[in-house]
Amino acid sequence: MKKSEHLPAQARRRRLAPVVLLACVLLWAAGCAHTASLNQPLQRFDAAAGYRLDNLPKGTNSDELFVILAFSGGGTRAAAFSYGVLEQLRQDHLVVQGAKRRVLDEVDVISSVSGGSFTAAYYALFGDRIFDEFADRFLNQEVQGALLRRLLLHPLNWLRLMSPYFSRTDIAAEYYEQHIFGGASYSNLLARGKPFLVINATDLVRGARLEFTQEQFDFLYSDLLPFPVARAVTASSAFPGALVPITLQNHPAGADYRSPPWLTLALQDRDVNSRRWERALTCASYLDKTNRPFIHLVDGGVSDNLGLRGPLASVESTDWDWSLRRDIQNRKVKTVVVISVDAKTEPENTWNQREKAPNLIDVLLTASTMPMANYSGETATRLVEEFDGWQQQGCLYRALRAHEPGSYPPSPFHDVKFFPVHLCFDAITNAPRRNYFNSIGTNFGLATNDVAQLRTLGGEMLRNDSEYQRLLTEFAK
Amino acid sequence: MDEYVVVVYPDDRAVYLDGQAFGRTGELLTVQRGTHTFGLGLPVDYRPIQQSVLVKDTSMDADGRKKVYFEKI
Repeated sequence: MKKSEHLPAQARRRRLAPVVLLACVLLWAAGCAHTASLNQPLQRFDAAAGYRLDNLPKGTNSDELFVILAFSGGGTRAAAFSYGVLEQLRQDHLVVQGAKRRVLDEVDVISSVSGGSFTAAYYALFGDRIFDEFADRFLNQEVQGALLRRLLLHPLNWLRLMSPYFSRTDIAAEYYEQHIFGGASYSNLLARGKPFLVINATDLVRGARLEFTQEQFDFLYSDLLPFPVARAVTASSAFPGALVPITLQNHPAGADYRSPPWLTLALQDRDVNSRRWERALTCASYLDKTNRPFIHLVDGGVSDNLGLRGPLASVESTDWDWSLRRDIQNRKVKTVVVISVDAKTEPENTWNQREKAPNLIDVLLTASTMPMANYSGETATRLVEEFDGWQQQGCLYRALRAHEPGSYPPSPFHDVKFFPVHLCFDAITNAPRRNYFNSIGTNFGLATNDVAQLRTLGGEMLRNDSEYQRLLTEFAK
Repeated sequence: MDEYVVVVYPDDRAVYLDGQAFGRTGELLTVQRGTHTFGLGLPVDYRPIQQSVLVKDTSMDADGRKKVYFEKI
């Protein structure tokens, strides 16, 4: 006879208590571990409200000079490289409308991806505090190790991970929120003012860029203001495989919802402007609440690893809220500067030196990252080519107008000055130095010396860039 | 894919492209290729109130620009 059969009922219940408690904790943990509904529905639709460029307090930032920073992906390598650029922008000055200002204070928009989103979001949220805090809070931290410890050594997280609605991505988001961004939301960003932060992620099903702006969230009938910035950064850096997607709820649209006027027009344009039509198709897909009640987001680098597609669309198109083309035509903006900080690496490859073919993992890794690298390269080239093209057209148009003013009416677009700056490791002329930077891995835990070297490089490359020097000369007095 | 449009109207007036203010009548408007709606600013003394136009294959010179006409009433 077993000993327990002799126990009175009360004692048996006492013995079962820990088991029942554990089951309750399990249920509670799994129940709490549901993060998909973090993006709240809109209380009412207002196409002019929320986190939009036009709603930000302007401060001292001038209208006529429009400066965009684009921070690429690439883990801490990208974060440190772009941080070095911010340090340089803090040191340099321009004279705008008679007032001497730091270049940093003229930055209007930061568009960022993955690792670059950490630097971008920290600066957008905390301004100059970044120069006192960010290195200790993020750049010199072994973030990857800390996340791994949270995953492996916290029993509560084991329980939470049993829920299908909670993942290691949520653990990362919680860490970023507690240790880096301090629970800040888009309301804080709105109150802070410029620069306007455009964090880019990728809609996994459409393979399309999804930016964390109210304009984009309107399609989800969702309010971006209460959304945690840390979670947007996590989505932007949720590299497929390492982290699972972040899920947003695509809320049913209220009766007050109106889609933007350009959308129906662009849907007619498949044969005349396929790029515009494709964008419209993606936006329209979010209005299909039946088939797309949830949107799964991964690393922004999957659709645009430079963070340049948004700025490019803004100069090319009038469809979006923040349309530089519109501001130029309305004579608000007269000079456009885009500084693209590209931390892409090209590690030395020795496969061609041996007869044996590379193994399956190497092949798969290369096949999955190479298209992204090629696409990014193409985007950077296109930006420079577009700007060069507009510059040349402007020269031609101004010459024609000077010669025959009656035939050539005023054209604000042709009077604009463009300054495209693209900073990347390829431009390092010293081969050993270039190889050193190309050998720095993509992760969230670099050696302190690597971080220091990347910061120095960011500032140095910007200082020496001919377009940047042309800008400083143009606005010297 | 830049395209060139001039909105023709006897008075100087704000132009509305796809519902948003975009330049003025009589000046060269640089738009992206595709279908757009054009309208004018207040007062409403013109017709049509709004027109949808496909803009493609234009050029900067006088003959190559797309012209969008509004009549004063």
